[in-house]
Amino acid sequence: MQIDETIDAIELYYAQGWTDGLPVVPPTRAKVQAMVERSGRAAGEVVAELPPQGGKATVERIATNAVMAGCLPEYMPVILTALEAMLETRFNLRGVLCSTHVSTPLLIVNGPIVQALHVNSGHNVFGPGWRANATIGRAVQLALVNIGGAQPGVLDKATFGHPGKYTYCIAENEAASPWEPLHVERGFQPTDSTVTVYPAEAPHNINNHGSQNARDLLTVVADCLSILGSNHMYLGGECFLVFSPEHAATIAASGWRKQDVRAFLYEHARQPVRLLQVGGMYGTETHRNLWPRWVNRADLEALVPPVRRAEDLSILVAGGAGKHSVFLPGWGSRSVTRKIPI
Amino acid sequence: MWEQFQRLGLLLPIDEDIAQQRRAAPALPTLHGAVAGFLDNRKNNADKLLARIRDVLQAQFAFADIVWRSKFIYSRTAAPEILEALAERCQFVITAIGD
Repeated sequence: MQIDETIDAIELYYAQGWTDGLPVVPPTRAKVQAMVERSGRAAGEVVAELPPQGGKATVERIATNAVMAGCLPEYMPVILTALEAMLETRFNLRGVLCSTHVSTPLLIVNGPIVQALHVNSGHNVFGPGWRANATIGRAVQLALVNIGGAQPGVLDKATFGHPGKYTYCIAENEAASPWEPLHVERGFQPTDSTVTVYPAEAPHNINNHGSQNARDLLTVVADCLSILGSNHMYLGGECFLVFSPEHAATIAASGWRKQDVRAFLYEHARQPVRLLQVGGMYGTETHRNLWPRWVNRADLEALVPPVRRAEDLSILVAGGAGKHSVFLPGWGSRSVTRKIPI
Repeated sequence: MWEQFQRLGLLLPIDEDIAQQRRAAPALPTLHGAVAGFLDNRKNNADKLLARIRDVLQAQFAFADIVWRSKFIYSRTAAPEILEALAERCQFVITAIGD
């Protein structure tokens, strides 16, 4: 294909509404075939029926979106596994895609594949500059729109949308973590490669240059976790904290393990019924179903946690140097971790 | 249009069968005497909004019958038996969120 033809091809995909607003790589049959071959699966195999419209995501269609996103063939197993993981009921992909809320699927990669594919886990982990992060996340997003039919403003009814709807993919910085990584916590071997999918809002920074011990540092984190207006304060679900290596080291130096972090945050990240009932998503459903049963709804000073159990606070370590961590509020549903077959 | 893609040796990133379904259903010739369906998603005020719409339309079109169903929880799809009941009896269904 000549350069003029390539530009024409890019315009063809724009004209059909099959891009995210950025130019795509024209998916030639040869490039798609290379992608399919690297997946180790048949081109016509239906990997998923993607909501909201139930489009059949064959390996070839996913590969086509992956080529358009700029992926290398070796990224295919991550993309396929991530799409399969999102279909678990606990993730509620249809709800995530169509909601007015501001979340979108985040991919978190663990294990040896992080090094093999050069997935960034360090400095600027949520930012640009790494092909694997940029294009794996973009391939998933393109597939959800093109195959699933989650067109922005049509069936994706997000009030504001999310920068992560262009791409949202990170890796855990396992080498810089004082704790076992996310996938090992969830029962996988350290030598397994996994992808975790989680419907996440944009990262909310937690600046803490002052605290010198776990208790002080996590007191600041707890305040961020319990912000009014967060879905979690009304719907529970699961939420993620991403500690920077420096913050994780400070916490670990106090002798605190992940379960200690969770226990502390569950006890201290709370809001009183008195404040929660002035707005947010307060209403009959919250009252009836979604707060822990032990919360006395009739007591205006009763304290409500953002999740029903401490175990619903998920923790990982990523990022580079600096005394910042991030809170990733979610939609109210749950993450899924799957082993990547390689 | 597809010929252009074929000429350039390019593949489509969509499920063409589903893409064909992305069209509005044909409009009913009239709502008079129809069986109307209402699907409450149970978000706050959805029932109030739908009830008001029902009353306004009923006064105008004198429905033969009205079928009202509620989802178990708003963030999940309606149960298949709810959708089947609506599809079996109703000529049209109105759903909405109330917030």
